[in-house]
Amino acid sequence: MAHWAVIDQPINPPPPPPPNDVEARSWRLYALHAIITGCLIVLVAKLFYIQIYRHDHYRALAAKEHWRREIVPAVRGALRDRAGQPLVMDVPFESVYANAAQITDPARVAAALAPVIGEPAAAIEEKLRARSPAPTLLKRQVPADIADRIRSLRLWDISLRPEPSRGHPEGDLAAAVLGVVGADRKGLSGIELAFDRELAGQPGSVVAERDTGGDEIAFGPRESEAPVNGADVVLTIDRFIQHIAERELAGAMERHQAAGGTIVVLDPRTGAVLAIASRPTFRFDDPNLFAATSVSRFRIPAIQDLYEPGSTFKVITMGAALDAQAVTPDTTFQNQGSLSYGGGIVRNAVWRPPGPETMTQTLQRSSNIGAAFAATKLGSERFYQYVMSFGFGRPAGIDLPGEAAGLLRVPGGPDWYPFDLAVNAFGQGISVTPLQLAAAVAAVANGGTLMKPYVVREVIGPAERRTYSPTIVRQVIRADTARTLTQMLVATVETVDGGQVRLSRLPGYRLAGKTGTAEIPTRQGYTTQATIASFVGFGPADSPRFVILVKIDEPKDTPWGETVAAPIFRTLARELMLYYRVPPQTEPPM
Amino acid sequence: MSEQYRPPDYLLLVAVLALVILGLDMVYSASFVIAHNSPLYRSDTYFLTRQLGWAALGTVALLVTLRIDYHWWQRWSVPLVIVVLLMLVAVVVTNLGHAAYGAQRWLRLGPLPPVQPSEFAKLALILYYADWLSRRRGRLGDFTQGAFPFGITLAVVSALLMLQPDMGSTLVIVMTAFAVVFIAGAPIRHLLLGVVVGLAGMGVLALTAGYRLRRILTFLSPDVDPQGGGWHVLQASIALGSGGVFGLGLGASRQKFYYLPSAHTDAIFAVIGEELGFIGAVATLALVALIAYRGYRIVVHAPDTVGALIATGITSWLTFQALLNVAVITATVPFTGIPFPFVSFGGSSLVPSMASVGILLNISRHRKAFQPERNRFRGAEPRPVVEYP
Repeated sequence: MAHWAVIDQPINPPPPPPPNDVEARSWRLYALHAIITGCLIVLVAKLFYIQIYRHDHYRALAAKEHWRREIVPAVRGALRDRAGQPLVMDVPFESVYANAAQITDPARVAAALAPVIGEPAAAIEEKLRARSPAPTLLKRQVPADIADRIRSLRLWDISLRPEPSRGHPEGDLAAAVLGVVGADRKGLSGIELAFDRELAGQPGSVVAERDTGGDEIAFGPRESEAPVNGADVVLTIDRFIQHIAERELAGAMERHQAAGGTIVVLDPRTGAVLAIASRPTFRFDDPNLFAATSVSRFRIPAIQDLYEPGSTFKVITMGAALDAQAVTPDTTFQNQGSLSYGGGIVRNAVWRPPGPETMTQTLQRSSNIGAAFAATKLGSERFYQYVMSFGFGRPAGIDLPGEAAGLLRVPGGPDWYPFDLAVNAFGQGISVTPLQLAAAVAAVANGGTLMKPYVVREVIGPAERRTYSPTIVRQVIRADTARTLTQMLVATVETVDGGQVRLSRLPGYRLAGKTGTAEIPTRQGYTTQATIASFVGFGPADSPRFVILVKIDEPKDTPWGETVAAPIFRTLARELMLYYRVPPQTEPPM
Repeated sequence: MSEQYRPPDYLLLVAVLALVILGLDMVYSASFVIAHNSPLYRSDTYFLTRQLGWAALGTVALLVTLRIDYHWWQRWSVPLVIVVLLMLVAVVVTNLGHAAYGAQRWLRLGPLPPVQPSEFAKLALILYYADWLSRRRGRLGDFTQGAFPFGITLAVVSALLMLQPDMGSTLVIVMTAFAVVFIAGAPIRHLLLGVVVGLAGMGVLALTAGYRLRRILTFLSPDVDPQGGGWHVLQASIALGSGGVFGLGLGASRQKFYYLPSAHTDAIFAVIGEELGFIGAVATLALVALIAYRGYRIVVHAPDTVGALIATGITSWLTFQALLNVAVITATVPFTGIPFPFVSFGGSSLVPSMASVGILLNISRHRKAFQPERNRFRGAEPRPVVEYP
């Protein structure tokens, strides 16, 4: 400004602007040039080092960072009942992930998500603030409607990934048989475990260049492999029969304050399992399902838990004795109140005055002495041959994991004594699984042919379809023996020794069956405090459609198979007759 | 009148326009992923259209400043500096400031897009120092007349910038101011004292802010925390390194998919290196070198000291800023955020840069007023020929 102020004073003409004197110090300009040139040389050298000399190193780092494999989960196969109704199927849940490193406002994102996914905002914000460059899991497996609400929030850097879960349309029906699946989608118990490979399918994958959030880079190359979905497994279990079995079991548990129980329903003609119900069991929606203490709940007691069958085993003893023609239904012996055999004394559970007793009466009265008499007439060698032939002492061979063999001591074994023959005859000193006994009685119902029990009917995969047909194990007793034994069991169901009408009797239908009241062995010997009340039977007696085994553990109000298990058998039999539309065949004799 | 003017330095203009065009292309390439994906932008071309607007505005600014005689700026250098200082104060102390990425660098004035005053401060300060130094010619040897007041003003501006904080801009302004005062003829001992004070200041700053110390430690050992503090630097190196000699091809950068932070702004040189390779990166540096060469040529041929010093300041600013940016991206110096002039996205950088190129080109249009030494050699009288407006 100073230069122009003097314009008003013509005496002093404006001084020329200071001339460019830079050239006078041109070395300074050269120095500046030199510094810049030096910097340029350093930078070009550094670029050469990074871009050319270390190219392979950084290209490898880039590849490691960009190329990632994403697993495309296969749909796990469904489990269906014999009619094809789904019992377990995959539900398309999605899991919520955050690309936390990119989120600039964690508090806002957390506040928006918190009410939708039902987690405290502070907890979400804490996860986001970790700013992990890897995807951060915020909530596992939210259902589709929640996922849609999250999408509608349009939150940047929040992503959803399909992580299907197992859904149970029938609730906890047959939970133990169906089994559970772990967080890694591997079957842990039941059918889910036994058929894990078939159900799982083959997960696919997409290998591609991805951004930091895991999304594919659109123009990058990719290799993808489509998933092969898992096969559906069709069970022999009937949804309706399973339901009434569980209903009756639950009712009995409550009525009798029982510790546990099992109901098995088989189709005697094929060995197909129509229902397996057990208590105690677990709930699929139990939040503590996988707590360490609850693992034992995944057992399938019907095939894994042993018990002493008690009087229900007399069916086997009688079948063996009849088939070997050691006795006939009318063979009579003199009951003297006790029987000495092999160094021990057999007594009846309920004392009865001495007198003659036929084999039919033995079953009707559930006479221990009669059963021991039949067994001793048969002899230990043949008795144990028949017992093993009926399938005891080894797994029944069902297609479920972890089946027990039972405990059967045989002559020649280290801890078998002759007296064992007399007590084994009425189901003491021998341990079986409910399924083993049901299958053995089914052999009686099936004209003496033992069928291998099975629970999977069909495996329907995307490529192949595998059908399991009924398998004959062996002919255990002759068909006429089976018919004779059935008549004796029908008489047993109807009355107590031709007099008092039994609770198992179902007017209009001929049912066959036998009760059992077994004392539970403990370390101190047999205890009368706790019993297992059971009933095994089948119907209709002339062309059997079902075998039912009912076993109630430690009923508190009344200990007897007759009072606890027989009414359940009758209720189930009536429901099954209606379900199978079997018309009543006999007039009530009253 | 017209014979006193020459055509402007077209080669400089070509170099600048080449960088601007490269910038438009690279801004689009580096930003379209984020622009497409983010619900904030919702358009692939969000950044491209804005950068096109800034380039148009910058071109207008360049054409205007090209036509303003550079002496006009001398009259306005003090008011300009005062306005810029007020803006810098406003950014830090008033609610007009707008924070992003942990620093408060933006000024939001009504409906206008937010501006970064530090970018305007660079130009205003250059004009102010050029005027101030040209009028104190011959007195610069006196410490109280030259170096001391110069150092005080520079310290005030640096302090305001570091309050934001903006280490990158501070460095560029300080280095530019040193270049101007160096060319203006300040005694070397004063300059060395300034360098010592400056380095001491930087040392204090580095030790007082944890993140700066971390950046220095990261620079010294980049592999310690590749997911955290080392992320920026490592991702920039991966971008450059995977580019190789010829690059992945235009648009083919993978690092811009959220790996490389600020891909379209401060880290755009890394995308250039990734997509155009060593050749493209060096070509970009060559354009910077061309600007430096032509700019310092204008310094020599400027008709008077003030023109020479303005040209020194503008050329040094643009060159230093580009070199600092590349040095950061190549991990040659510790990390600091600084845009690449003409190329990085953003009007606050592009418009003042292009306007200052207009001033530089205006200086190049003036013939040298007189050439005393050469004329003296010929035995002729020095003879002023320029008429001033």
